[in-house]
Amino acid sequence: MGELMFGIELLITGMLIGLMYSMVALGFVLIYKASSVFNFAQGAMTLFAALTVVGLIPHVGFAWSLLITAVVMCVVAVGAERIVFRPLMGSTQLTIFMGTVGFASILEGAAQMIWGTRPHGLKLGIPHEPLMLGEVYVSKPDLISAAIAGLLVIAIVLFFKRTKIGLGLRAIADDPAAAQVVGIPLHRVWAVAWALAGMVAIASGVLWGSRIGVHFAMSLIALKALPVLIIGGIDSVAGVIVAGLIVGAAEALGEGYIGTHIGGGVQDVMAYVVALLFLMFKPSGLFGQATIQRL
Amino acid sequence: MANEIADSTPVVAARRAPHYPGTRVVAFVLLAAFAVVAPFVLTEYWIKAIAIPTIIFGLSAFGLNLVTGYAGLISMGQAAFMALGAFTAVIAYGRFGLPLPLAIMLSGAVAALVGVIVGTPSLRIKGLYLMVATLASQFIIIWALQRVPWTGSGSFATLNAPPVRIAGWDVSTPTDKYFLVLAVVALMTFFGYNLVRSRVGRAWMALREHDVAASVMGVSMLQYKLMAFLVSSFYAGVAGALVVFGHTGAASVQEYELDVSIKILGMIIVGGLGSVLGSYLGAAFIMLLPILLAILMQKAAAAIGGTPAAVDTLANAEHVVFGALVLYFLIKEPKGLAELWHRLAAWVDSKVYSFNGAQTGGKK
Amino acid sequence: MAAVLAQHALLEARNVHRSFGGVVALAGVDLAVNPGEIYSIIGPNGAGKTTMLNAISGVFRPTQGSIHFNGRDCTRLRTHQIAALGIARTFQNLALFRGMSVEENVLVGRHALMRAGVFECGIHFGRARGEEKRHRASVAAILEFLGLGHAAREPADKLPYGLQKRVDLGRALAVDPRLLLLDEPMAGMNHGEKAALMALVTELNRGRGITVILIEHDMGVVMNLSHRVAVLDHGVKIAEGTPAQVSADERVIRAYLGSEEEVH
Repeated sequence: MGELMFGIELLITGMLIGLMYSMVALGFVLIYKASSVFNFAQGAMTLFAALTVVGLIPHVGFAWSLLITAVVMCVVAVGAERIVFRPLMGSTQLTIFMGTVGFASILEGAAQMIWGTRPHGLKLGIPHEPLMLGEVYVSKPDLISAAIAGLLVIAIVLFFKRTKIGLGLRAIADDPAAAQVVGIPLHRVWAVAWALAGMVAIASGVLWGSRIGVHFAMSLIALKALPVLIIGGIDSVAGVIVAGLIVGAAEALGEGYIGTHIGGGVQDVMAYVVALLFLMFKPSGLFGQATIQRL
Repeated sequence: MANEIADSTPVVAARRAPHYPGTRVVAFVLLAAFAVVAPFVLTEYWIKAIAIPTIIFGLSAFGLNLVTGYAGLISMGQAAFMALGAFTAVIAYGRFGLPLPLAIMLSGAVAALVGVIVGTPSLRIKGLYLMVATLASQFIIIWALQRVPWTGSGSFATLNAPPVRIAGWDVSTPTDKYFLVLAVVALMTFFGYNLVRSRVGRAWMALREHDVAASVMGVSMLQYKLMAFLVSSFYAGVAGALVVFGHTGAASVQEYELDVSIKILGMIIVGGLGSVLGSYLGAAFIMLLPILLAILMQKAAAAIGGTPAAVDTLANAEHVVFGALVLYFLIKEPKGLAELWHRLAAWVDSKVYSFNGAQTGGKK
Repeated sequence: MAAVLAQHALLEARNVHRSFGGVVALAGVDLAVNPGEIYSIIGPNGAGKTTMLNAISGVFRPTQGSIHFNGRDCTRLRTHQIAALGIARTFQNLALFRGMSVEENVLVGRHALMRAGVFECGIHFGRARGEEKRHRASVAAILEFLGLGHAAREPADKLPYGLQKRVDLGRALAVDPRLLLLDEPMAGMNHGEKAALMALVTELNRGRGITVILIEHDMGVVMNLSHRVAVLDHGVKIAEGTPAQVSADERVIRAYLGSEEEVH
């Protein structure tokens, strides 16, 4: 197989993974769009959801475990909105961010206290033989995961554009005071945003879990969605998709070409290096509004 | 948008000071005296495993407070700067044979230099964007340390330092190390205390509150934001060096991962943003937390008649309690433990005055 | 004394343009303020008054045109260099620094006049200590002058609104300015407070020779205090002259009426 094929394979695999990053980043975007809150706890929520699913499977099977986890995540998300973030309303963005850091800590500790700290595997029952596209190997699980992620992203975009609550979210993000005046129930909408982020956490947790296993490092994977957010533009759903593809591709290509020379591990930092470059030169990202205050 | 709701940015001097120092001075003198005799009254375990790391992390927390509490620039990378300091310390002292004081200063300098580079985006971006930049730096610095040949190799890159000596004094016993750490930290705290009460500290706080207004008043955003990163990382670097020379005797990269940066952030939130005292109170509180928890859980287990908790559970319980504390202080006590102390001191003052028959007037 | 420079404008704005995205805030404004005068800028909302003030105080650069202070082109200077020239300002929204006392807020205004660097400040004993003492004394005098002496150690943001405005003013005075820019200083004040503030401004101008540029909506204040007035509308200067001249000017009257009816 030629160099080019190798490169294309890397690219495709990378982009498929990238879509999964996009999906995780979507959880961040949901909450940011609704309340201008950077939810550091999205990673912890992903871990919590994944552990819950995995923990329940032996007892009630996959379908039920998903359902129950959905309910649990709703409770967690709504609880977070009510107990943690409502009291912090009116504080600075940084203060609220630190609140999400605290919340993340609670979730991570609680998740592992309840479900234990052993890594768990997660089998989704997708056959492992790779697909052949021309001369290029594509992993089936990756493809299916990416497809699910893509569907989820489309669903959320439609949600924002078509449903009443979605529009409410955008209104609130734009101008909370005006939205209230018009009668949009601030807290209910926020609760929905958080609950949706919880659902995204479940999807991310399950898909990533099937890929790398369910364990503590999962919250670090979710953190990688932050560079995706930055590169794409923090409030742009389209940006999140494109950025995810870019990050995934950059990671795969970086690892494949540079990694072999320096002993591997390029994929761990690639996303952050690219994000840092964007922050230095184009902080609003690819699609974000350039409303970052200049000196 | 003006927010009247509590935002955790107090300044020691903004409080109305009592007519003479009173309780605070007494407490300070007692604390200083205790600090000096501590190695002779506490067990070696307490000195080695608790006092020394607490003081060291107090210094690092103080450094973080400078950039995050005073200057308002969130940094998620304090641990990475400590790592830079630690490795510089070992290499400078162990490999190049530099005298100890020089090695410590160099550790601070290297961390400070990288800190300024990391802080450069702060000129164009603010708030959460800056946070992501520091987060990226935390990951990249640790990653680099794990791959650079001079630092051992691999994920657990560790360098051991040779026995510590300064000008003929063997710093080998815990008591020796304690005094070395205490001396360095005391010196740097004195420096930092002066700094925050000077025009530099005021410039930082002004930048935090209204950077445009501050710059109209003559404060250069460029100079002072970078300065905040520089000084804060210097403190972290020195703290890292102290970990090597006064605590573990080695620089080990896995001790400086993201969770440690978060822990230090938690220390200043709990202790009090924008407070010198708060940095150390917060550090002490967070460092003592695992012990407190362990004792509590043992008692609870004994009371219920169950088995004592596993190490795992303890670590996770710590996480939960840590997160809960951070949230509690953010929501209910945004000025942190430092403010609680000041309220207590003011209350004691009022009792002392009234006991002496003096006028207390209206107490704020 | 100001007499020597009487014919030479202290502050000149030449053909100043400023846009934000697609919105044109200033479309070629010329101003000349003479030393020792109180010069008001008035106009309907959105006329570009605060934008002009921001341009003069260096908050941003004009997209076109230049600003000259004391004969020197200061258009390209960075914001923080403006204070050192002797230009100070107050803010419409006060912009007081929370978490700091009144004294500390005003001390920030002294920043450009103090020299001690990071190292010296950290050591404290030495130049920093002497400087700190001297400037605290200056600030104490400013606070006395403004009637804030009793509140020096109070948190600035906990004071009543009227006193907060004085802190803002004190901070500007601490810069030791030759030119003072006041952005709607009378907003939110009752009659008595306005009178007191007018007396203060008069004292600063006549007694200390500080040139003042004032943005204000209260016409009574403007007419009473100003030596000259400029009227802006939609980013352009439509009139300039003594208060009497300007208030009789047809274009000015139309601008104020027209802004309600959107005639243009």
